[in-house]
Amino acid sequence: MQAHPPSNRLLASLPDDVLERWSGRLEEIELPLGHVLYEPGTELSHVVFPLTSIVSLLYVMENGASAEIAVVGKDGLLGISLFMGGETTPSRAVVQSPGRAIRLPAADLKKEFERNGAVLHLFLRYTQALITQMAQTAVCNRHHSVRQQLCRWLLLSLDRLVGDDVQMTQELIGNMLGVRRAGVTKEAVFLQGEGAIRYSRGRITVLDRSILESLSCECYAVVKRETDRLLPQTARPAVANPRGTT
Amino acid sequence: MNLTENKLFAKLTPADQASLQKISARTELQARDVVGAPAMRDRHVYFLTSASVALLVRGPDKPGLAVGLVGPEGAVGAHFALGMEPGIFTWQVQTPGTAWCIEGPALERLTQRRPALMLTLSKYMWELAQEVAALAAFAQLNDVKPRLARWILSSYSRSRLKELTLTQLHLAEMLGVRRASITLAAVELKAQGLVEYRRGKLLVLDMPGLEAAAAASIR
Repeated sequence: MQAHPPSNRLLASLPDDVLERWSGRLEEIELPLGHVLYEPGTELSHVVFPLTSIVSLLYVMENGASAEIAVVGKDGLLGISLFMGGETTPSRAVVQSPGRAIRLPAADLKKEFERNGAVLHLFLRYTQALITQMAQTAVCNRHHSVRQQLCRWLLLSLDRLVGDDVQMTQELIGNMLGVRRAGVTKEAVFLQGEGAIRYSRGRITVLDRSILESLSCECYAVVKRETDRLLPQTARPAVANPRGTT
Repeated sequence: MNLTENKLFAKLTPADQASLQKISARTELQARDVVGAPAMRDRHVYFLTSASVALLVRGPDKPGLAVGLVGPEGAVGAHFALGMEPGIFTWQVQTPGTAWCIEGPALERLTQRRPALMLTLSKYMWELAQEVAALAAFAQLNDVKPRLARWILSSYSRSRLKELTLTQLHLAEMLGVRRASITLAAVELKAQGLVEYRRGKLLVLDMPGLEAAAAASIR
């Protein structure tokens, strides 16, 4: 019995006729760790819907410094600025947890977007979800402890992944949270001691997410609640036969 | 002030402008008025003409943070026109002035019939998302002084006034810091000859200097 193929929440919520128009144009791709999908000044050629990978959105300042502002996984898409903004973007999108994704040429998405129908409305709701995530993350960075931020980050990443593994070095997590690596190590050791995670060789495995939830601030719950409200989960199975799969 | 003073409104087609004008009412917004909040029943959209409104995330009894500031370049509550519910944000007036108020549901009905209007408002929402992103990133990477300089600059760019009433208590709330942190940062900006307080109003003395102070610094 074949397990349900992984799906992207946004794609799964689009009407049948849209997906039919796109069949044959959707392509499944691998996203390797550290791959930069786009950065400031890049002209985007495709939109990407992650399936089992997580992508970090980093805002790049004029002096080159960057801060993580959101995580995108099977709940979202990359490349929305193609349609809602100019062709380029001030963000950098980096693959933080490797896996698979589906991509669609921008031209095909543009046609649907211009119909002012389901695709536009979906983009709007996703934009609102992204604004919520970025804003709540900013509050969390400002007011909450490293431990709470780490729990929030792990839980948000886990929701966007399939499985319980987050492949990530402590240094990278430190960069994402805007804290020094030593701070992350200390908290990772604590969480491991509590039985919440196992950390070894660059891989964090979540053993008991309820412990993370109990140690987290309200920021995780707020983002989750709003995302679920804006982008309801549908029971529909994955897009059938995107190119690149057997 | 006319609706045409609002730059977002000015982007619309003449026909869309006329339709919007018909359902708008001019209003005066007072400092600290809350014009949108998670629990609020009213769903109003405000096209700002001289007021400016801060976008806040506010916890119950907890310090929050401002993640945006809207002035005559934009609108408050555009998400209502696009069929969305209130989110996590509180919209609070920073600088009093005029605005044009529209019932959310009425504007939503209008956008459903007018694709160009829908698209313009959608793109504005994305612009707002970019501003939130920029402010969030800046807050993560910078200390109070550059953040304060940046907020002061934003406040001036969103207003026509030469002198703004920005109390230290208000600024502390916007930046999500203790009031003492604002006091210390303001003292430094004043010592550098960049700003001055006169009769409770903050005056910018050196705009380019303040821009340099607001330039991102690597921590």
